[in-house]
This record gives sequence, structure tokens and C-alpha cells, in this order.
Amino acid sequence: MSVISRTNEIRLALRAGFLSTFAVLLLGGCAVSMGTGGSSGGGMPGGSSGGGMPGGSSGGGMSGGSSGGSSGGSSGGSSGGSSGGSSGGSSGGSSGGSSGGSSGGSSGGSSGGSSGGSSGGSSGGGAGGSGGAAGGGGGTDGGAGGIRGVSGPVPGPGGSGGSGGANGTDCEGGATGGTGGWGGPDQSCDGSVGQYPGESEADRKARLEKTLDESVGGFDEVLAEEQREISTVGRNTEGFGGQEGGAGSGRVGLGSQGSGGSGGGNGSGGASGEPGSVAIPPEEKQASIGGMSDEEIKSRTPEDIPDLVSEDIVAKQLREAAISESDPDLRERLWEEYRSYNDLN
Amino acid sequence: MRTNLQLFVALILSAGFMSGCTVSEVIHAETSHLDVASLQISESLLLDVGILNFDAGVPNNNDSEKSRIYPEVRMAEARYLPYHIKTTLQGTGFWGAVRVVPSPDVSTDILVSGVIDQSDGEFITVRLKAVDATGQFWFENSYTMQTGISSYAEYRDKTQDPYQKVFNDFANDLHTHVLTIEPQDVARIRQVSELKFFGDMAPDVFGEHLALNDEGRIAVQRLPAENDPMVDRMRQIRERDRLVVDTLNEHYANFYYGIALPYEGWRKRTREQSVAYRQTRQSAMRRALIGAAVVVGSASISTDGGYYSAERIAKNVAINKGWNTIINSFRQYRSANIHREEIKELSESFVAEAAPMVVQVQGETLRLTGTAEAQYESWRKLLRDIYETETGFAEIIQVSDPSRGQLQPQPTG
Repeated sequence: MSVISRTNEIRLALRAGFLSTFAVLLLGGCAVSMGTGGSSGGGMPGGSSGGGMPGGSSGGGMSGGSSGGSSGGSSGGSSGGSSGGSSGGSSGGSSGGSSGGSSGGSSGGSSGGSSGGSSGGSSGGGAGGSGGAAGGGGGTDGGAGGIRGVSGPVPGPGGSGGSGGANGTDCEGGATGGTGGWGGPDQSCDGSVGQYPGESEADRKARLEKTLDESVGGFDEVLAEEQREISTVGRNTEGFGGQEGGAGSGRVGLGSQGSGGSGGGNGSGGASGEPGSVAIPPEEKQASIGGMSDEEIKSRTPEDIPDLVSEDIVAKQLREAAISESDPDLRERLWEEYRSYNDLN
Repeated sequence: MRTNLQLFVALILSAGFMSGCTVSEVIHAETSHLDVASLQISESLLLDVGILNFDAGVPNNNDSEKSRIYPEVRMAEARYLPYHIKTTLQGTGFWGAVRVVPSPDVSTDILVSGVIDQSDGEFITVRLKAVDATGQFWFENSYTMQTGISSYAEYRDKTQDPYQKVFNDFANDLHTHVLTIEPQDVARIRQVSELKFFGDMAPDVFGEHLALNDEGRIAVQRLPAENDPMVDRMRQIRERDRLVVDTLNEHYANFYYGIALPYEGWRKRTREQSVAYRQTRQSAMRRALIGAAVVVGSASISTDGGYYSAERIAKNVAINKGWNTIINSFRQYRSANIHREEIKELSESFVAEAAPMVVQVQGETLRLTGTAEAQYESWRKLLRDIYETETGFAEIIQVSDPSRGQLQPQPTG
């Protein structure tokens, strides 16, 4: 009896070994070497079995990047997720991993997982898992969740969710990787972004530039979210005679972020850090509010808009953007945005 | 006899001298006019200023009871005062962006640092130093002032800090110094600070654009082409770097506005107690000296009459009075400690209010800078890959260690 069971065990082991060897060989045919796992490359084509999913996402240096790159396929997604869980929070990791892995859009999953918070993980993973094509949205969500998540379960400055997602196509189609988000500062992996089979240098450069733009856009989103949170803190200016201390204080240029949001836009709008100014891309630059007369500002401000002394950064920027907008329709839309932001409707 | 008289006169004089040379309370504090730009300055001539959080200036073996320096109070001041300098400099119109920066590695044209030597609500002494991006030492001055009763009055202009003179003096000095710099040197400072950032983010591309010259200053070796797409990318990223610092400054602003009222309350009451403490001690000292003078003077009076003579009785009464005065002065001297205790209680109360805010802003700083640095790290790698793709070079360059601060000018001044 024991001899029979022993034989069965050996047989099963041999079968498993054969299958795994075969799988490795099969995957090796399609996978592109990633070196030590690109931390910034993200979305490298991992494997072709079962549809060739871009397995390895960098996730800001998550081990998902390396294992995804080397073993590819669905294992890239899942390991990205699970390692995201280990560094960022279990719920974030698991949900990011599972959805990212199953759909092939691993960037959203792993970057969400690495963001350190359950909200970052789940939203990053969820969006990344929605087919991979809209991975940019997933990454962005992950980023916003991540920056919040750090103050939660993970001490210290953890990583934030990635900005771009993977355009989850198959291996032959040339998957476009997400940016892989930003991991914790203690990430240690290095390596460069791999190259897809048949991809020209120009294509690769374009892909990398797009990745950078998406990443920058995602970062803008994260900072905008941060600033929105800061602006919710009321400032007691009683000690300064009811007004904020210095010129320009409390006003931060957020830059143009319109295209950097969900959908994986490039988010390349210039952000001006100059206090007291709102950054507008040069081609869209309208007359700045600083150069306007009081009458002109008044004529561009609807009567129902109150003169709020205590308006926060976002409201100030909306106000300035609306006043400096020359197109009346667009201006009215900005005022509408201002009203809804300040609950004036 | 003559010796005793001389001693008596000397004691009286010293008592008078001590009361004359002691620090007296001020009603209206001295003020300084702040130089403000009357015309808009060309943006190309504006330098960005980064102000580091101050050194709290707490001595190593500080005994708070004696020194009346409370480290937690100083920690709060070390964050509050730089932000007020920021608002002061911004109001002059002579500068580009003025930011409080979390570390000296942050890319900026001028870096201001400071040490708080004294701050007790009545007296403030800070040492402030300015250095530009090339490592050129601008100046280091000690700024001091004494606040007055009106400095904390309800009717005063509350946009002016009770220590405003110190900030105005520094702002004026900084402006005076920048006026001595040629426009081309201003442009060079801006180039260096930009290239330092570029070199940090893409060392393989811009790592050799700067070098130390013979004087130990950072000098531009070559400039990148303006139409270089890498320059556009770097400027895009630099804007984000500025945005990160601006976002941090929003946290600092929240701290600044949050702590302003309790800090002013602490300064006002601590000043009152400091003045009372000093005056009580001085009064006690004067009385002790007068008492001693009376004792010595009375003892020197010769009494030729009998034991019950009027002279002898007067002499004994005077000596007795003198001793009583001395004893009372010691009692008064001890009672001054009540004010010291009061200062301690005020400081503890302020610390209870400020410490959580300090911890919070420190945490926010760590979180945001850590997050940003992680993001920069991924951008560094992307930039390296783009560079390799553009040029075909695949140099092995360690990018995991940011090169910020690697090219350090030799310290001067």
C-alpha cells in the first residue's frame, strides 16, 4: 500500500515537473528579459500563454516587476499584487494583485498595491484590472490612494500608486507599459525598461516619453489631491488681523492637469510653483489676472460670486482661472465649477 | 575714618550705577523700514530664495530652569520664524519664489539658514546666513531687538510681528547684497541652480555641466542646448519639484497660522514675566547695596558721647535699618523666582499646544518628501532610459543615490 502511494507520488511529481518545465520554455519564448525588474518600466510583456499578458509591472520597485518579467503571464500580475500587499497593506495588495493579474493591466494593480493603503490598492487594482487599456486611470487612482494610505497602516513615507497603467494588449501587439507608479523610498531594485520585440528605437522612445508624461501627470494629480486636503484645514488668521500674512502665501500653482487625470492622459501641463500664480500652458496663456484693472475683473465676475476672504487654494485658482479666461462660455463653465466647489448653487 | 567714608561713598555710587546701567523696559520697540520694490523687476533678475528651518539654538547641556530655554518652544520657533521671513521677503517684490525648504538639497538660487540665539518674547537674537547656488557666501549677521509693551498691544498692526524689526533688517540686508551682484552673475546663479537640479535628475546627461572652480565655487562648464528635448523634460520635472515644495509650504503655512496665536500669547506673557523677574532682581540688588552702604556708613560714624547718647542711638538705629534692608533684599531676590516659575508654566502650556502641531508638520514633511523622492527615483530611471534610447549610450551609472549635494562648494565665511 505504501509502495503504491509512493509510486503515485513520484508519478505526480514527475508530471508536475514536466508541466512546469514546459510552461517555462513556453513563456521563455515570448517573455522579454527585464534585467532585475524594471522599477520604472512597468507593464513589460510578461508572457504569451493564455493571451500574452503584460505581466511585469514595476510598481515602483515591487518584486512584481521582476517576477513578472521573468516568469511572465498571469504570474506577473499576481506576484505584482501580492508583493504590493506585503509592502503596502494586505488589502491593497491582494485586490490590486488579483485584478491586475487577471486582466493583464498589472500596472494599476501593482502600483495600487504598493501605495501602502487599502484604498490605494483597491482602486489601483480595480482600475488596472478593467482591461488594462485604461490603466492610466487605475494608476492615478492608486496614486491618490497611496499618498493617503501612507499615513495609515504603513509608517514612514511609503510609495504612492503609479500613474500610468498598462495598455493590456497581447505580447505580439506590443504592450505599452504603465509607469509603474512610485514605490516606497526603500525600494532597492534597479534596472531599465525592456524593449518589446520588434519595437524600433523611435517607438521605444515614444513609449518612454509617454510613460514619463503619464507619470508626471499622475504626480500632478497626487499633489492636487494633497493640496485639496491641505486646503480643507481652516486657517485662523485672527493673529494677523484677519488676513493671511504675506503676499502670495497660501497660493500654489497647480498647473494644468486636465489631461493628466483618468484615462492615462499625458498630464504634461506645466506646473508653476510660483506663489500667487496659476500656471497655464503658454499656448493657452490668457491675460493674467495681475495685469487686469479692477473694472475688468469686476466685469468678468458674475454678481452672485461673493468676495470670499477665506477661500482656499483650489477656489482661488478656479476664481483666477475664470477671471483670466477670455472665452465667455469657458469662463462661465469655470464659474460654474467655482460655484459647485464652494456650494454656492 | 576716611577709609570707611570712601567705602560708603563707593557703595552708594555703585548702587546708583547699577540702577543706571540695567536694562529697562521699553514702551515702543525700535522699528526698521522694509525696503519694497517700487517698480516691477524683470523676472530674469529675480532669484528664488529657500529658507531652511532654523537651528533651535538649544545649548548641549541646557538647564531649562536656569537658562529659561525650553527646547520644545524653540523647536516651534525654529519653524515659525522662517515662515515669517518668507512672508516678509515675498512682500518686498525683490525676489522670485520664496519658500521654506525642508533640506539644503532643495534646488534654489539662494539658501538662507539661521540659528536662534535668544528668544523670550522680550529679546530676540538670530544669526542669519545667506549663500547662493554657486556656493558663494553672501553674509552672516546677527540680528537682535528688544520688544516693547506696545509690540503686543491689541491696537497694533497685526500684520507686523513683534519681532518684525529683525525680519525687516534681514530682508533689507539681503536686498542690499543682491544689488551688488551684476545681472550676468544673477543669471549665472540661476543657471547653476537649474543645472544642479538637472544633474541630480539625469546625471548621465547633465552630470558634467557643472564643476568646482579654483575658488571652490560651482561654475558652469557648458550649457545645454535650449532646443534639447531633455531640457524640456527636466524643466517639466523641476516644476514638479517646486510644486512639491510649495505643497510643503502649505503645510508650513497651516502650522504658522495654527501656532500664531498661542505663540504670541506665550511671547507676550513670557515677556511680562521676564521683565518682572529682571526688575525684581535688580531692585533687590539695589536695596542690598543701599543697605550695605547704610551699615558701613553708620558704623563709621564716631560716637564720642556716652552709651545712651543721641548719636550712638542714631548710629545703632541706622545700622539696624541697614541690616533690615539687606535681609529684605534677599527675600525680594528669592521672590523673583516666582516669575521664573511662571515662565516655566507658560512654556509648558505653550508646548502642550504646539508640540502636536510640530510633530504633525514634521510628519507631513517626511511623508511628502519621501513620496516625492520615490517618484523622482522612478523618473531618474525613465530619463536614463530615454537618454540611452536617444543616444545609444548605455552607461552604467548608479542612479539610486541621488547626486544632490554631491557637487558641494567649499564652505566659506
